[in-house]
Amino acid sequence: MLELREINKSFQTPEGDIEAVKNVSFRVEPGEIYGLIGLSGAGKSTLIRCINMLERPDSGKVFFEGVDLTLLSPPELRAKRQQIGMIFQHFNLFAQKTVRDNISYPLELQGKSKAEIAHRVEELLGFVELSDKVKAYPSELSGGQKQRVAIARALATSPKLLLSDEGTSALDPATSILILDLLRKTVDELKISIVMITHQMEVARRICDRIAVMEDGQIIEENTVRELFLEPKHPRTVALIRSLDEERPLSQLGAFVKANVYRLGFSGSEVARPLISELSRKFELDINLLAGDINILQDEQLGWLAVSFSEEDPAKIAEALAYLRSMNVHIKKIEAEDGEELLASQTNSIVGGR
Amino acid sequence: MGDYLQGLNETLVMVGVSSFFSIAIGLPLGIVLVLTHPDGIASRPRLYRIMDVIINLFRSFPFIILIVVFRPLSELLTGRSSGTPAMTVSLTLSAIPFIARIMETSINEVGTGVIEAALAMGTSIPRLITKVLVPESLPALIKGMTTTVINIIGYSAMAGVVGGGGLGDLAIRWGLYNRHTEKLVVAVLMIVALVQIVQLLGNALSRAIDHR
Ligand SMILES: Nc1ncnc2c1ncn2[C@@H]1O[C@H](COP(=O)(O)OP(=O)(O)OP(=O)(O)O)[C@@H](O)[C@H]1O
Ligand SMILES: [Mg+2]
Repeated sequence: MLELREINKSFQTPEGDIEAVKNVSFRVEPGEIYGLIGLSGAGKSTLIRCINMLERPDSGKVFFEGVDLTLLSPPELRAKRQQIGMIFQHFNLFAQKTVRDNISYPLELQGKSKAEIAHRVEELLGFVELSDKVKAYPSELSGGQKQRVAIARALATSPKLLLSDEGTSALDPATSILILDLLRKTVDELKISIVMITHQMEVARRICDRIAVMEDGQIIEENTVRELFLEPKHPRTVALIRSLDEERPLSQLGAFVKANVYRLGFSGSEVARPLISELSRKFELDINLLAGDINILQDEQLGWLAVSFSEEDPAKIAEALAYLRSMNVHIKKIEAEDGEELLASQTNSIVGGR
Repeated sequence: MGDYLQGLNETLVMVGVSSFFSIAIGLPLGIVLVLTHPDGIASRPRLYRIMDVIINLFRSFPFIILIVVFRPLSELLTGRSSGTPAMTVSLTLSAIPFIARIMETSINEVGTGVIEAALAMGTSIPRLITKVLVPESLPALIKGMTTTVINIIGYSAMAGVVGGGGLGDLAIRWGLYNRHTEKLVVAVLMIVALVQIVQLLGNALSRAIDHR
């Protein structure tokens, strides 16, 4: 469906060249939602804009349905763009057009008949629950409502691919869940694809199938949502998802960090199991619970616990950990410097964040 | 009474015709400026720079000088080097750069985001102009054109000095030089009223269609 191959993009500025995207490749399959996360300035927007040629890559290829978009003539590219919807962070609605005319616009480009357009607009407005606002102008809408109009406009032509740059960030939690679930349903039913940038881990976790983490113009980690949240590999990923995931960073657990602290990741049925008391009984260990949470993924639950063992005998702990591993629990030892690293990257993400 | 009516008529013709033609020529020129701007969608930096310099040049000349500069051209187009038709040509030519600039700044106010959204949907450049750039910038455009028409009214009064006809001519030649004070006062009041009407209409129209 969509494949990017070795995309490079740099900007010339008076202060020198900025390499915004460096050698990025990825694929998105039909029916898949692909998330892009990363700190501010990582190059996410530049990358997503390279997909529909709003930004021309300096080198590399963008295959959409087998066609390399970088090679197309202007009319050919326009035709392809009509099959790629885009939602922008700042909505970019036409201020002098009503909600109806905003949503009609892409359909008019396709030369659809008046009746067809009217029908489709009604359908879309129902979809984003804004039927009472057909005649309103964008200035009369709230941020979340504008975003919903933008989503309706992007979906109007039933695009095969939807690009979303922070396209759901202005929605309130309830609407956000509603829209995200509707997007998920659309993707599943029509086998379209979505590439979405988000700063909200809740969003990424809820609807993405796979996630790529960007830093300094590169993808530093790419994985299924499940694996990424269960076992993030790169320290930046850890910082990004933990900073939102774990209210209190493990490093702030202070004195405990020096002791035997472990992060235990559970998935599926283990979430509901009384593993800790089981462990405590079986190995006669005193287990200290430090922090924990359960996160809801699309169709499963992921839980994690930070625990410390009040036990001096390393063999006994090793035994307990081996048992946990056999139960498919992901184990990560929290080291002192690991804690510092966590703390450091967290500060960065606050400073560098929006 | 006949003097006033004739003066008003000449002024209206001068202002109306030159407004019409300067807008008809200035607006497309402004669009070309936007498109060819170094950061524009059809960027032609060299062409932009040349037009930019010419426009600034003509905008910085006093109107009286422009009348002289355009005299040969006016004569070519109207067969006379003075009088209302010749003055209309000069007015038109001097208003074009203003209108072009107003079009350019009005469109720039639309914002790159909206233009990008339109392009991302697969909009062609002609369509972008007619369906996005012009409708989105229309309120600002009308405000700017109102100012330009008012400037044209002012210039048309000045044209009286060189025998261009109209209310300005009446005020200066009869009122000032021949000491018919009441003609001066009435002609000036008529010009003021004309400016007010244009201003009010322009503002009202701009506000009525602005949904921002
Ligand atoms: N048009 C441009 N000209 C010059 N530099 C640019 C341009 N667009 C982006 N950049 C630079 O490229 C880098 C990546 O920017 P980009 O907007 O892609 O980041 P991002 O990951 O989307 O950040 P955010 O999360 O804040 O939206 C930044 O250093 C930015 O300053
Ligand atoms: Mg961005």
